[in-house]
Amino acid sequence: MKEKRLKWVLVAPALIMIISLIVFPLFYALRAALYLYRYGKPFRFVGLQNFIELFNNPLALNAVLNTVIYVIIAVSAEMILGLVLAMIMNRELRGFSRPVRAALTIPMFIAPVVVGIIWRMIYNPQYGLFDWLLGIRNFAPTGGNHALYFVIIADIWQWTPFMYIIILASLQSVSPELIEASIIDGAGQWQRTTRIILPTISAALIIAFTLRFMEATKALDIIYTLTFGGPGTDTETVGFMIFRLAFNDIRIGTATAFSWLYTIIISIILGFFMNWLNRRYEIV
Amino acid sequence: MSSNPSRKRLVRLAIVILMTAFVLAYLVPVYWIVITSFKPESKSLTWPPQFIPREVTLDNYKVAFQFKSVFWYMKNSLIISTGSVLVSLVFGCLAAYSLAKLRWGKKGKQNLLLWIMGLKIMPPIAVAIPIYLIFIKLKLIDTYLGMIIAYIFFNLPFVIWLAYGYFKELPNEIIEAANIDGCGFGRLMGRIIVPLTTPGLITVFLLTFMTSWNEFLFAVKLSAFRVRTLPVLISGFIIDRGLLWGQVCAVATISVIPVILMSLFIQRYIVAGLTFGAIKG
Repeated sequence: MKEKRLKWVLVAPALIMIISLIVFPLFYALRAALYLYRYGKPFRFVGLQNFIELFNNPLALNAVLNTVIYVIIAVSAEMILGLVLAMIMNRELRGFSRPVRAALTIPMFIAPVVVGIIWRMIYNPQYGLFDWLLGIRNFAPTGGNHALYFVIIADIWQWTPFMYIIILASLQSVSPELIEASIIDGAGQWQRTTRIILPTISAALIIAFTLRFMEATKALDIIYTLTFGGPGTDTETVGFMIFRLAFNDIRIGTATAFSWLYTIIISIILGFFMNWLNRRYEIV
Repeated sequence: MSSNPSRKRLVRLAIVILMTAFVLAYLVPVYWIVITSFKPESKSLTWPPQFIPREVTLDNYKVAFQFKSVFWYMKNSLIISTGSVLVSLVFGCLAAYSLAKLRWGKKGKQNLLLWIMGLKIMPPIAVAIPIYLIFIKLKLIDTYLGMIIAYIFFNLPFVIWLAYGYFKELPNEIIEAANIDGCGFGRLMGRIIVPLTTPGLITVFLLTFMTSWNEFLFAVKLSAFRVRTLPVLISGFIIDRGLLWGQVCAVATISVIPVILMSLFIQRYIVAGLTFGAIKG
């Protein structure tokens, strides 16, 4: 077969699957967003009413704010903790990095629903490890208006190792000659870190940040088993609220309208970011 | 400052303590789940916490394996994950090979790859709702086939990206030599490309398998009764049956063990795996 034909033949099945599984459903959802699609009511065209309703719904704003807080705090905490721990490990305990890494890969592959259960146990107000560790009792971390922050802690727990492992690997690939040269040139430790090490691993940092950012915006499973969005709607993220609208309240029109808006916003933010990233570091 | 040896030792000690605490923060909760699964239900949570149980029982596991047993959910998880991963792996690798080794315009290839990567940006819920509606029409709800098809959504883009990275590293000379020897495409893939990238492809297999094994959102809505998977079972404990900690922990332990074992196999390739191949480990 001619190479020109072959290259398309090989790509075609994957492309067809992607189009029928992702692109087509998205447009199907857009159509649903323009209809009144509620349990027990007739199915009819309502134009942009679902979108307008969304803008007037204070719970939607609540979910957006929760998501912003969740993503910003979780991802930056994971990044900073991962970076600091990886730098310490790289400088002082290089020999142990393999066993430590093996232990730290575990949480990333535990199902988020199980992570939710683990933290639900830890946060149990009567018998939880959290209260025990702090020497208090009957404090419910996920019971007050601070619940969101404690959900974020669970996310940080699960994903700090991700940052740590990626950053440590890139630190270990910084050439020792570069470090030696900087020592000979009289660079202090601080200077060495900020001028040489951080710039060298910046691509890895940005990639890790982008990937985590992307995943954090989707947070849903862990909330499902840890708090189910509660108390009230205090820990409801956009993903969780769309899920609730669609499958608990059976308001498919509003849910798809929200999911479209959300997808567009996230794609714009990350699209710009990835494009810039690719131009700068030539990942593809 | 750092030439003072006793001070240096102190810093090192502090660091060892810090890193030990870091690792323990991960091992203790996992240990906690496992140990709770062996405690009798009445003692599953106590104050103060019992780190070494005084009574050990297999009751939670017995209950888990009775009625609609955990095995049944595991079987569902296994069929769905394996099916979806295999389909994604075959078609993903074909596409990845084409993009990595055949002649594409630079711009076109870049756009296609970035577009495929871009699909990962989308929140799964945005696709889960329409797929749910479409599957109702196609009568694919609560079938293995439906679940396998749905899981291709996150597996396929991931396979294409990682396999693309592995195939690109292969020297072109090998393929040229094979072409000169009159080796057809099927033999080229089966005898040369796949064997040379086997460790990488195994990593891709395990990573996609684990993602599918742990998947919850699609699983909970696209299954009703016949094809429920382990994560759906686990989430069900919290919502409908109150809080039977011992049993939840038993089921959680059963679901987590295979995944932990797999994660140990891919240590060498984990960094590439976690970053879509953007960073080589």
